[in-house]
Amino acid sequence: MRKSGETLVVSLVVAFFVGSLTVSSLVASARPAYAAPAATTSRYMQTTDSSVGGTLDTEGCNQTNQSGVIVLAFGQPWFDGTNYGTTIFGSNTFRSVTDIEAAVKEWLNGYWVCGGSGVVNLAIGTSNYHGYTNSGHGQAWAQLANRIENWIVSPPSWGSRETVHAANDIELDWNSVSNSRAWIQGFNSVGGIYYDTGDAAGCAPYGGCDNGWTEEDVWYKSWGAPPAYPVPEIYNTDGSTAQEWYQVSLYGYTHHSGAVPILATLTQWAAAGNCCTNQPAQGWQQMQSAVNNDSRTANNIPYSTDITWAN
Amino acid sequence: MSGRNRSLFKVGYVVLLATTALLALPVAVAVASSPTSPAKDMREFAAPRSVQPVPAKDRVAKPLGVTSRPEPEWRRGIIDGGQAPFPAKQYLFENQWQDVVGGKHTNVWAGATGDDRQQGVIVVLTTSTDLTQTGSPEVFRTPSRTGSLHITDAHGTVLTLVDSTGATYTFRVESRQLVAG
Repeated sequence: MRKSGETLVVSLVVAFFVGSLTVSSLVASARPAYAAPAATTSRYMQTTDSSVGGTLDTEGCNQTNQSGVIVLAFGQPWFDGTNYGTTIFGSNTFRSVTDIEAAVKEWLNGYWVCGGSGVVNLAIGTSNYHGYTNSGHGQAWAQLANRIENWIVSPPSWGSRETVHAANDIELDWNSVSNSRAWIQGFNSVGGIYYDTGDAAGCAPYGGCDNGWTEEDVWYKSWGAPPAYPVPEIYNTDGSTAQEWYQVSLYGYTHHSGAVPILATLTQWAAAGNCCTNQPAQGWQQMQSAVNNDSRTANNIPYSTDITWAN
Repeated sequence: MSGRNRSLFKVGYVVLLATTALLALPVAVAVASSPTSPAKDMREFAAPRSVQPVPAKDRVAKPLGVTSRPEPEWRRGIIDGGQAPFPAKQYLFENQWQDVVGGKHTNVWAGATGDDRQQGVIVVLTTSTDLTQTGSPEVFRTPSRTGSLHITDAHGTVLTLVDSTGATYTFRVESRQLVAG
């Protein structure tokens, strides 16, 4: 009896260790080696052509098999005295939120009607560049995104392939913390999601953030604010922009409830003329490596997008 | 079960508990430090996916429900504002000039480099009038680090610029020549 008891205990302990080791090794072997996701094409918008067969319709159609985050960046916030909107790139002319709404819907029409297999998170982009970065514009931008999302899911719903959010290229040198926070708070008062496609210029590990911003402010605009999800610009080939965003992620871990997960990387290889900045996979790899070299910030970055100047 | 066996069971039980705790600790730490937030919609982080192509019968456009206005002409001349398709860390522009030159939209920005605000810079970017073809950015730096550039005048395609010290420059858009004075 004594011998059988001893045998039982020893067997239990051995079995547990063997089982644990087996489970551990299975877990370890199940951890995938991530490869860079296929990059989508985002655009600096120089037009809001919403005609059938026009620019936006054609772009949506041409991208119907792309899956992931796509940003249509419509430029700096503007108010013409009656309507909020933007000054778009290239022509430097005003487009109201209604003009932009029509353009984005036509892009989504093209994406749907061309019948590809892609599933898109389309983000309607503005920036915090100068003057009209304020609460009213933030509200108008959230309402714009929400109207289009409601249009997508209205019968017949296209929700299986299309989702729309907002985006804001919030760059530290383009505006003050207070103006940028006002825009965010205006957006948040309406609700929805925006992707922060901006920067963390000058922040750790390279010193203090530019233009009076703090790491807390950068954390807030990219993740701390309820609507914010980070899609940082990772363009410097020396990896410095990835290091700045790794530090933002780590700041979330050390000062808040957790590291800041990176949703996507935004490169500008095409906009820079296929030269001198990170290619999409390179930018993604820099960011992926930076956050995954530290267990505190480890996360797999699901998306990659590259922005072009062509329309 | 004898007293000896009960002791052995107790020892085994304690070993089991300790081992479980040791194994569970890294998992707990990982979960606690995982980059999630209850206030966020973590479905945003789902991997990219594809779906079966939409059946042809369902590929019907929806009415937009809104009407956009006709697109205005591109502005021409000096434009007060430095918005450009470049990050602030690359360039900080003060203003810009644009026109159709050689059959292409031609944007010329003036300012400083993002990493050295004393280095004056001009950047030129061209776009075909149908917007589908774009050139690579052409970058012109002032020979000396005397501050950010600002376009003050334009005669045809010849631009006059001034830097932070008041020194003037001429930029000939067609030939892409930047000269002092």
